[in-house]
Amino acid sequence: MKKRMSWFSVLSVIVLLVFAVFMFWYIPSYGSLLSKTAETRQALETSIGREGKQQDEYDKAVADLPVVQAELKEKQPLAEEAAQKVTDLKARRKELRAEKKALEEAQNPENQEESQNPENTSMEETAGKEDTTNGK
Amino acid sequence: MENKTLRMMLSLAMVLALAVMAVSFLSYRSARKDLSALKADLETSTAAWKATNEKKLAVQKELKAAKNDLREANLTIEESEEKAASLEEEIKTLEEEIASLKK
Repeated sequence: MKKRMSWFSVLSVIVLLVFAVFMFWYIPSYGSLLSKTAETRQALETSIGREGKQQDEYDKAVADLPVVQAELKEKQPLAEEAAQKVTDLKARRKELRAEKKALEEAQNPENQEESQNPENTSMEETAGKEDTTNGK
Repeated sequence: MENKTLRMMLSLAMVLALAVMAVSFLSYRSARKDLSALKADLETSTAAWKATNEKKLAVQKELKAAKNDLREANLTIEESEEKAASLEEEIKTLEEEIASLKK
């Protein structure tokens, strides 16, 4: 009986020791695991939120793009047309200025002589330069 | 009698210890499985939002360029209209002056 009791005691001690060691490992490990799980869950929620936000922004940009492109398609020819109109009007003004100058010269030959004066010539050149600048 | 009681108590303690270890181990495994699944979901979600972000940036770049072109076109129209009005007035004056010179 004593022998059997002794064997049983040894088994009990071993089992309880194993239990103690197991709990010594288990408690911090399980705690750490739970903590990591909570962190990962939090990160996942953040990531899902970010995913939704990115998707919303993408959808908005995709929806806005055709509207802006359509408006651009409509406005670009108008802008080209308006710029061309300015160019044409400048050319017309240049023609009229030349015509006016010719008429003035024909009517006042004295002025014509004056126009050959270097001072007047430089003034005309300045006016010509202004035209060129406006043309740009 | 005492030995018998002690033996029963020890047996009960051993059974309880084994049961607690088994349950704890299963719980640990389950928690690890959950963590692995969460990590996989997180990777998938991160990859998804990064891909969407890249697509979004490309579309936003295109949108920004289109908006700039549109703004420039509007500005050209506005400036050209002003300039054209001024030129038309100037041309009208010149035409009047020419007409009076021709008389």
